[in-house]
Amino acid sequence: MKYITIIILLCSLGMLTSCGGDDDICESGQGTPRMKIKFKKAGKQTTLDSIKVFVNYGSNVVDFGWQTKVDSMFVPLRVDDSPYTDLFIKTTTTADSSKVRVSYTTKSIYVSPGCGMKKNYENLKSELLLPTTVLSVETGQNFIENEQKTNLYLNF
Amino acid sequence: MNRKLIYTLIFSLSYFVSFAQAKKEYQKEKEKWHYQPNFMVGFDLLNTGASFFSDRKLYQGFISSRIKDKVHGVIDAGFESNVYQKNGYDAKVNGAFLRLGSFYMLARDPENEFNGFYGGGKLAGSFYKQEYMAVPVRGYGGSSSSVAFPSSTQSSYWIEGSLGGRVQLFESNFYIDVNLQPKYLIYTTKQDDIQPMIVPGFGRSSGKFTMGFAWNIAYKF
Repeated sequence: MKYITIIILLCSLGMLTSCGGDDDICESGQGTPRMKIKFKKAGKQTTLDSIKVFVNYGSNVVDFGWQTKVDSMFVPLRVDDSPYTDLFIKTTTTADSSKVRVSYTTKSIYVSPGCGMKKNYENLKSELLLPTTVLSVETGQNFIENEQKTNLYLNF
Repeated sequence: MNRKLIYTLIFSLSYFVSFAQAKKEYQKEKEKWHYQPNFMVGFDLLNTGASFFSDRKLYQGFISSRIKDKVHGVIDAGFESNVYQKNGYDAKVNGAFLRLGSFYMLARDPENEFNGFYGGGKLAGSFYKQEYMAVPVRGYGGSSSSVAFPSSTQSSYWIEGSLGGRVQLFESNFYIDVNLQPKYLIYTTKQDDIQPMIVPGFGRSSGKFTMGFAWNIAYKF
């Protein structure tokens, strides 16, 4: 009788302390797919010696830093309600950056408890608002569901 | 009743073996055992008390009856309202749940057959209203947003283990019933494929497994 009381008390104590919720983790690659960019020179795909991309995410501008000897880049687009994302591209420190506006419609897709929703982009259109180093833009695959196909070509 | 004895008792499984010796007495009794209407009605005080201090409001109770010698049937019912505001989610649920099952007295007090430890299982279902005001969209560089879903009615089903103990309060008809409820979610209806984050009576449901706990005051009729 007394044993039982003691054990029940111990159990209750243990249980009160043991219930902690695990945080759900969103594994990379399950979230919103990024836009794939490739580069062209004189109509042919090329590798750039250096490139720097800034992206305006509305609340702040993110600098993706210098990348050297690259033939492609991944850029995350905005996931808020904005119908477009502005990119700024530089190939040398001294040159002014070119501004590219990528506009789209979005579709929300549920992924998992940890990731929540992801966005897929459709009707992708690119527009060169400020041509400097980038001479023109070409749209590749006009939707983003994964990160396999190139969505945007930049002509230098 | 020294301390050593108590610890031996807690940490050793041989405890159950020692009770097994008392089995013979029970077996004699078994032959003459016939079901007589007997009911124990309990109410979970711990979670009710905790409801005053948190967003989780859980009220639950049970009715159990000794069906056969060591087997008791039990019905749990309850109501829970809860919110989930974490990791960009903002959700609320409220609804009722019902659990049906039985448990087996693993070890009993020779003086009072209702005292002892038990283990068992239950089938449970919950019927509730949920509203997801925000399901997050994870973005890059501070760009994030959420999607809202209208309120909807859903249901979830799970199996539940029941491990606990019962002890009579002094010489009265009142008992304290404490039990642990490991729960495993089997099936849930979903709104637009969204895995529910909370389910009344189940708890956090992003994972399939949760642990519940009840501290009941019960009255034996």
